[in-house]
Amino acid sequence: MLNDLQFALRNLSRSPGFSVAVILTLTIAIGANTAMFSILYAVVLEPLPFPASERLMRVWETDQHNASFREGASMPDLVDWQKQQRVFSHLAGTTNRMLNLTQPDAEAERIAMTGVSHDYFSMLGVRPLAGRAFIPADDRNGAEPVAVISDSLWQRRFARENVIGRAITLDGRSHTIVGVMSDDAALSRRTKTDVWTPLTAAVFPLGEVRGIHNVYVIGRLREGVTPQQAQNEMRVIAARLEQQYPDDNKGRGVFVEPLFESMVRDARPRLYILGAAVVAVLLIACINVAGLMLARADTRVRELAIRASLGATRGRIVRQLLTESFVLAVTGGVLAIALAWWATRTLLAMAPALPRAGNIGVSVPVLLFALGASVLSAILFGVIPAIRTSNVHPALALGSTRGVIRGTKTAGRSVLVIAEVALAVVLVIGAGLLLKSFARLMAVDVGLQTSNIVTLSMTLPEAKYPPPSREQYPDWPEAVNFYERLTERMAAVPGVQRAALGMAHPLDPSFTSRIAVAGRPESDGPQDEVRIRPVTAGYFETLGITLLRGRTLTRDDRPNAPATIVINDALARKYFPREEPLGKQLVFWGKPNTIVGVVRGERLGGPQNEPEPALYAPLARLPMSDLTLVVRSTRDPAPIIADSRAAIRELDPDLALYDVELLSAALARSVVTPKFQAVLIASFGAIALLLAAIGLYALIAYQVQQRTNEIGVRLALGATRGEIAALVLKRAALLAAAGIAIGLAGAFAVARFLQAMVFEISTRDPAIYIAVPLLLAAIALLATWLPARRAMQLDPAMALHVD
Amino acid sequence: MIRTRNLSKSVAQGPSRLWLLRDLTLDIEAGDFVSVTGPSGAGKSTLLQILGLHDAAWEGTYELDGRAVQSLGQRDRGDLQRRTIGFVFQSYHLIDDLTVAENLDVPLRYRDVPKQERQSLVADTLDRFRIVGKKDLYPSQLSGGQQQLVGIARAVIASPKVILADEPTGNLHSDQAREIMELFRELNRAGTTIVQVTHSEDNARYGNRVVRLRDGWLVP
Repeated sequence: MLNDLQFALRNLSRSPGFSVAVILTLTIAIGANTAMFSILYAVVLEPLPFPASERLMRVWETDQHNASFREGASMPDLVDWQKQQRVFSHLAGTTNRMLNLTQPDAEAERIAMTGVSHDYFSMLGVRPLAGRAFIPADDRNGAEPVAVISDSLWQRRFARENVIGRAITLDGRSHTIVGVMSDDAALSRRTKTDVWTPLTAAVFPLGEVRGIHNVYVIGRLREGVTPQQAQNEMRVIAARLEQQYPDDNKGRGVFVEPLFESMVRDARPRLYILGAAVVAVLLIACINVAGLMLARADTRVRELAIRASLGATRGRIVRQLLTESFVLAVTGGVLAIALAWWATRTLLAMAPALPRAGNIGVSVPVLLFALGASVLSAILFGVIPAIRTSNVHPALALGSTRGVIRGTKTAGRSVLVIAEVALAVVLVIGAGLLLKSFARLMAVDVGLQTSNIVTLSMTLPEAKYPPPSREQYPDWPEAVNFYERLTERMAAVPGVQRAALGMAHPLDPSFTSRIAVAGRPESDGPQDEVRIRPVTAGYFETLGITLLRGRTLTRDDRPNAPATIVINDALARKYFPREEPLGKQLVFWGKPNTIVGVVRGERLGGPQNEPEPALYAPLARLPMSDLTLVVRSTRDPAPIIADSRAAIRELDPDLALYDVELLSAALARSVVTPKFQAVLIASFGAIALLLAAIGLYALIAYQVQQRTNEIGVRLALGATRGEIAALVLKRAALLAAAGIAIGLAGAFAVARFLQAMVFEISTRDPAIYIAVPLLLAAIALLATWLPARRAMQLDPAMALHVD
Repeated sequence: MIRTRNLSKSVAQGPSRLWLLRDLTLDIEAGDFVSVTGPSGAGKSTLLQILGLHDAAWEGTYELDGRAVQSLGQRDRGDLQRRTIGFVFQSYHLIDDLTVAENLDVPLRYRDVPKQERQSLVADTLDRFRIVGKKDLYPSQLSGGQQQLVGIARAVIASPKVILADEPTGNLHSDQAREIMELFRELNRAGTTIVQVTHSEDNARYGNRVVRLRDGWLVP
């Protein structure tokens, strides 16, 4: 074996061009596969990092009303479930919120908080890194405020000093740190949790309201209980609660789903499609390398015949050729790991917020995958050439010529080239569809101008801006005063053209509520929920939202003035399809509001979303604590951001600011998933195209070389140069046409899997299905032109002397 | 050493068969130096391929070193060949990518000779053929005669009982050819049976026996 290895290394180092071509091809293909696998493994394959994690279940509330299967539960429902169920050993609630962390002598920071039941950590099976987890006494109304912080917050803000017993201020309230937990204890899909607090305090004062579904429930199945048994028991409990509380729980059931499944469900199909695409790249690479190996083997027939005549058995020759394949594949595999390490980082930098993205890296399973992919590649590209070549007859060596004894059969290689052209067509059609879809997406008018707009988001902490009770709402002078002072102050900032405040980020969908048209009977259903965004005067002008009719909101739309609202055209179309909406009244939260204007709808959440029916109310009449300041300016964003920060700090130095950026950057982020998919598949498509072109070129060049003698005879017999070129090109055209036809059929069959990934185009878009074959044909022509030209330029006298 | 009875070889040619060898009965004893001659197409190379166990599609009987070849399986033929036969080719057929020393090493590797023994055999052979100074050269750096010298060294390194040589001097000029034939004579004197195919009457005279072929028949 060692001998074979020595021979292999020797032989390969003597053909550096061949070796480099093969290793490079394999490095790119195995590297892309390894990078993709490292993402797939971390996101959808690796089990959760908790003991017996398969017994952890997400317990959703379902709502028959709007056919929703995955909603949060209300706190009272959770308490009833905990009392009545016997299938879970633990049943814990969680709720997520952003809040302000303030420390003396440090800038306020916006951090992610998760409120959790006291047994949340023991349910997961995680132990604190320092201090303790919560105890039942922490999770009661009136308990002393306590917090468990994450390892990364511990490191970032406290340099891993002893913090147990120290106080931190969260949204203006002091909390005692009782423990530090690993970041892994966070189950939030998108953001990491920085701090955990007891659930009862986190949902206060809404913990008593059965109609608010803001608690997400996780349970650990008791030993021996199946998910189906849990589902059956929870269904019975939900039915009981539905009877008991018909006002709030009518139509509400329970859906028990494995926690792991709930976390990876959305990402899985996308990643599988990308995985399939990258496997196709590996296949094409293997086909190409097999072609190279076969061509090289043909030049080695003489050497192998001599070896056979000197006593080498066929098995020995196969072993030697396979050893060479393995050396190439393993070298490619090792380089691929380095490439994958780099590629994974690059992909992650441009990747959408994948769940569990923090796990992604080059781990032992990833290394094993790279090794497996290398071995598999070696088998794929090495076995056929090895078996074919080893069947050399030693008698060949006894022939009298010294010249290379050539095999002339290229049927096998033709099939390989057809296969790789077909695979390339499938990939490039996929890439074409996603690129076209992405171009469509980018061309969409989102309904607001995003250039030269800066956003600064903030949340008014309850301690400093105590929210009014239900009865007092909307009387909230602290908040309204802040809005007025901030908008006035911003008007004085140099370079600011306009500035306004709105609830939530302009691209976030704010909140929904049921509405009714005054004078019409109220229907009972989710279809009457519309988006509501409270804004200050100048909001539409700042964001360039087009006014279609009537007027926008002004400073005169105050709490004591008549209640006015602006609606968007989607709402107007839905509720007033054949009527003039101006002057009509919409009722929400029990009060009528007069429509004074209609604006063009914005595509909330990004260009892929249709504008939803929405209404805008004056912020002073509907005061909120989650705010975004939008600023339009003529100056560079950096000084505007600095000046805006300073203006806000002047008014309230403890406010933590987040989402401080250009609105165009936030919009770009909203299309990061389709961009990621399009760029990735386009890269795979480009690699596939390149490899297919190389494969075709290599085969045709080889055939021309093999047919030198025949071409010489033809030229001697009077064939024109054009006829010789046609002879060569015809062969390439046949191969390319066969590959394209098979590829088109394949693409037609698999394109439906892309349906969920494309925007406003059909996965059978005719333009793509016409353009891609033309592109492939052009590339095939280009790849064949060089060998065809060489054939045309052959000197018949020289050619006839080649044996 | 070599004993054939009614050895025939034919290939299909359209509806009929083309006979390459016909009813060849031949005895070559250990220590013989036999020259096979005849015009082109007489069947010389075909005979050499059959004797060298490179061709198994023939009729009749063939006994090599006391073993009936026709009754051996493929594996046993391979073993018998490795144990008994060494080849010398007209075109030398050295492996271009290996040095002289490495070319000599190849047959030993295929016979699973341990490394140390291989090294000493290669050193002895280089010395015996007086090519120590060339051991690190590649075939392309040698003259034709030198290449054939290496070819012969490679054929004898595994101590075969028989050397089969196909036109061993066909590509060499007369001085070099003479040297090579002298070398064969020496090897023969040392006990190796040699069967050479040759067109040259001069070369044929180096042997102790001449076998003539014409149209596949043995002629007197």
